[in-house]
Amino acid sequence: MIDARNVRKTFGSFAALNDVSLNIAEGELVALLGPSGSGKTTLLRILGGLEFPDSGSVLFDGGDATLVSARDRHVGFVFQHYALFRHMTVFDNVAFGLKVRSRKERPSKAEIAERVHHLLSMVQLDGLALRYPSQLSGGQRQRVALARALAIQPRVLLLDEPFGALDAQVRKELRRWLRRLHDELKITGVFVTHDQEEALEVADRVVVMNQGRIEQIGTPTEIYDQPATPFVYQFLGNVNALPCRIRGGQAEIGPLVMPAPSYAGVADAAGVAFVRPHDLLLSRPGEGGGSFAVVRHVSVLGAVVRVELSLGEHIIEAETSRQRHAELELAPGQRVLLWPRQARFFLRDGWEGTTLESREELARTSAML
Amino acid sequence: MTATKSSVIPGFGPTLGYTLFYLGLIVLIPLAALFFRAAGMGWEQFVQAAFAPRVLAAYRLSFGGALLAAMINVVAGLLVAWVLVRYDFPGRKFFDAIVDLPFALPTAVAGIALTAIYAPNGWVGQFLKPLGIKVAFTPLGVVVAMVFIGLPFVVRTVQPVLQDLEVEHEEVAVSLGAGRWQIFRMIILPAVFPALVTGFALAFARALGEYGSVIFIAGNMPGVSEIAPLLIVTKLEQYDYAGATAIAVVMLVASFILLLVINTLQKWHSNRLGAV
Amino acid sequence: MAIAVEISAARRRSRAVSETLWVKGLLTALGVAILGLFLLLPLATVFGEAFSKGADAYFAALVDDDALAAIRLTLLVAVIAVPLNVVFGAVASWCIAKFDFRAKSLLITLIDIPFSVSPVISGLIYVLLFGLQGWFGPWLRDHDIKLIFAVPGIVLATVFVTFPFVARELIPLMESQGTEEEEAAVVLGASGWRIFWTVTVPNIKWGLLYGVLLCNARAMGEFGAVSVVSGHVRGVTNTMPLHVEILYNEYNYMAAFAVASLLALLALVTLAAKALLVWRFSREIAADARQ
Repeated sequence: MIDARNVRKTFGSFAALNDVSLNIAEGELVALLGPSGSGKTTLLRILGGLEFPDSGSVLFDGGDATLVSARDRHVGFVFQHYALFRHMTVFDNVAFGLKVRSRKERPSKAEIAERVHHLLSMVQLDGLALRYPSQLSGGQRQRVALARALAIQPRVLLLDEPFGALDAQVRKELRRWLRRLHDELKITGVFVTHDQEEALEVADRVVVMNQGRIEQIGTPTEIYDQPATPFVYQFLGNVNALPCRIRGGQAEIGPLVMPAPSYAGVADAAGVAFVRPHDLLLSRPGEGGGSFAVVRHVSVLGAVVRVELSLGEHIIEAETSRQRHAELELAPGQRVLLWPRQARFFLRDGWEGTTLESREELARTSAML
Repeated sequence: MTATKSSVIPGFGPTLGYTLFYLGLIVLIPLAALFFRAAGMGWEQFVQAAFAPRVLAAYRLSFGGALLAAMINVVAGLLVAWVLVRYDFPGRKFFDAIVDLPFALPTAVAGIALTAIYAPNGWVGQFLKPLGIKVAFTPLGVVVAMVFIGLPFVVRTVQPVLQDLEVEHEEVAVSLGAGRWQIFRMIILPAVFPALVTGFALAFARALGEYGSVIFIAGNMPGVSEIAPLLIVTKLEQYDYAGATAIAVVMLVASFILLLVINTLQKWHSNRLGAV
Repeated sequence: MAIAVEISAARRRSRAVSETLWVKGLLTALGVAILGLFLLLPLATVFGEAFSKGADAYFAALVDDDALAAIRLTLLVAVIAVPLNVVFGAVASWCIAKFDFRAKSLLITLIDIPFSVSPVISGLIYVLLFGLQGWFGPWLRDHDIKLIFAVPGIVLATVFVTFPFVARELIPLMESQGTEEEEAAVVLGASGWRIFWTVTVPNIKWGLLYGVLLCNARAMGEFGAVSVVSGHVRGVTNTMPLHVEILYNEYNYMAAFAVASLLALLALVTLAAKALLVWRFSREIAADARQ
C-alpha cells in the first residue's frame, strides 16, 4: 500500500533520514518508535506530503507519489497538538476538508452535515458540534482532530504523537479506543511515538528508528523478544548491558561463562552482553547452576522484586517474583547463584547500524549498572 | 482606595497618590476644563459653532479621509506585515525597522517632505501631473499623509499575530485538500481579522486627529481641503475660543468613542480565542 | 540544541505550505514598494532637499541665529518634559504592576488618553485654562505670569503629549515580571526605595530606555500641540518643528529642510536604538530561557 524506498532527507547539515525503506501493507497499523531526533516525525511528514525527500521515492498503491503535494495525496494527518482551527466550531472543523473541494466534487450541504454527524457519533462527540475547540477537553480535541482527518476518507491515516499531549489516564483509554476504531474501519494507519508501551500495545508492527535509520521492523513480540541491535535492546524495556569477552563460541561475563555459538569463529574480542532483568534466575547455592553473585540491595515494587547484585566487578539488576523472594529470603550481603535464562551478545566492533552516540550511551548505562 | 490583595511590597499609597495627582493635574483637569467651557456655551451657540457648513465640510474631510486612509492601510499593512513575517529577502531587517518611521519622524518634517514629493513639480508629482492626477493641495493629499502616519499601526498589530500562527494549521488544511487561496481566506484571514480591525481603528483614530503631516500637503482650502484640527487652530487665531472649543469637543467625543471601541475589540479578540 | 533549532527553522515553512516563487516575488516587490514609496522616499527627500544647495548652504542654515535658538529651546523643553514623564512612568507602573486594586484598568485607560487626543486639542486645553480669555488668565495677567505664548506653555503641552510613553512601556514589562523578586527583597529586609533601585530597575532598564527614547523623540518633534500654545515668536518661542514651518511658509525650502534634516536624524537614531534594544532584548530573553 505504502512503499518508501531509500528515502533521504537532510536539514542543513543534519541528516534526519538516512536511506530509509519501509513497506506498509493495506489495513495495517504501524508505529514509528524512536527517541527525539531519530527521524520518525520527518518520515511521517514525508509520507503525508508535508515534506519532500532529497532522494528516494514514496509509492502509494504502486504509483509514484513522491512529489504529489499533501493537497492531492488524500491522507489524514493528525498533529500532536491537534491544530484545530480555533475560530471554527467542531462541526466546521470536521467539515473543512469537504467544504474546500471544488464545486464538482463537493457533497451537498445536507450530505456534508450527515457525514459530519456520523463521524462525530463515531468518535463519541454527539452534541458537541457547535462548541469551539477552546471549550473542549484534551481528549475531546484529539477525537475532533481524528474525525476531521477521517472526513475526507483518506487512503491512510497518519498520526504524530497522537497521545503525547494527554495525561496518563486519558492516554490509556484513547489508546484502546484507537485500536478498536482501527479494527472497525480497517484503515491503514501510521503513528509516531516515543513511548514503547504505546507502540507495543497499539500497533500491528513496530518500526524502531534511531538517528535517521531504521533499526528493526517487526511485530511487538519480535521487537521485544528478539531485538536486532543493541539500540533496540536498550530502547525497549529494561536491560543489563555487561561488557564481556567473546572467545571461541563462548562469552565470559566476569566469572560467568555462557555459550555464544553464533560467534564460534571469533577467536577473542570485546563484546557486550544484553540480559533482561526478568531473564536472570536466582537460586540458593547447591540448588541450581550459574555463578555466585552478592546481593547489594533489594527493593519490593508491588508484584515484582528488584534485586541489585554484584557479579565480580559488574553490577547487575535482576527481577524476581514476590514468591521467589520469600523462598530465597533475599537480603543484602547474601550470596546467590545467578544464571541468565536468555542473553544476547554483540561485538564491540562492527555493530551494524549503531553509531558512536549509542556506543557512548551504552558505556554510560553499563557504568551505571 | 486600598490594595484589595494585601501586599508586603511597600509604597502603594504614595505611588497611587502621585499617579492620580499628576494624572489629574496634567490630563484630567485640563480636559475637564474643555467640557466645562463647552457646557457654559449654551446648546444653541454650541450647535451653531460645531455644525456650521464650513465645519461640517471639515468633519467630512477628516472622517472621510481617515476612513479611506485606514482602509488603504489595512490592505497595505497586511501585505507589508505578511512579507516581513513570511519571506526572507535582502534588507528585510532594515525594512522591518523602517516601518516605525512615522512614529519617530516629527509630523512637520513628514508634512513638508510629502508635499515636496507630491507637489506638481515634485519627485512623484511630476509623473502624476501628465496623467491628470493632482495629489498635493487636494483632499487626495490629505489621504496620502494619513496613510503615511497610519501604516505602522496596522503593520505592528498584525505582525505578531501572523508570527504566532502555527504552521500546523496550514499543514492540516493542505492535507485536507485546501488550496493556498482557500487557506488564506478560511484559516489565516479569520485568525488575523481581529488584529486587522484593531489596527484599522488605531490608524483611523490617529488620522482623525493628525495635524502636522496633513496641513502642509492639504492646501487648506476652506470647504475643500481643510481638516477639522486645522479649523480649531484657525478659530483660535481669530480668538474665537467658543468656536474652537465646540469643534474640539466633537472631535474629542469621537476619539473617546473610538478608544472605547478599540478596547472592546481587544477584549473580544483575546476572549474569543482561548488558547487551544 | 543548535541542530534542533536548525530543523525547526527549516521546518517552519516546508514547500508544502508556501506560495509559489512568483507569488512570493510579486508580494515582496509590492511590500517593498509600499515601504519605499511611503516611508523611504520622504526620508530621502528631506536630506535631498536639505543638501540641494550644497553643504555650505546647509550648515549656514543650521548656524543661523533663529535656528540655533530653536534648537536650544527644543533641547530645553525635552530636558524638562522627559524626566517629568520618566518619574511619572516609573511611579505609575510600580503602582499598577506591583499591587492589585479596583479600577486598575480604568486607570490604565486614563493614562492612555493623551494618545487618542488630537495634538491640536492638547494645546487648546491649556490655552483655555491659562490663556488671556482662559480660567486663570486674568489672575495670571494680574500677577504678571505668562504661561501661554511662552516657554512654560510649550513645556506643558509637550508633557501632555508625551505623558503615556514611559508608563506604556513599563506597565506590561513590570506586570510580566511579577512580584516575586520584590517580595524576596522585602523578606530580606530591604526598604522600598532600595528594592526599586537594586531589584526592579535592573529588570526593566531596557524597557525604560526604550520608553525614554520614544518619549524624547516625540517631545522634540511635537508640532500641533506646541504650535497652538507657542505664539510663534522667532528666536523666543519657536521650537525646531515650528521653525521648520516658518521657514517653509517663507518659501525658504532649503533652510526648512536643513532644520528638518536634524529632526529626521533624531528619528533615525531613535529607530536604530530601538533595533539595537530589540536585539539586546531578544538575547537576554534567550539567556533567560536557557536558565
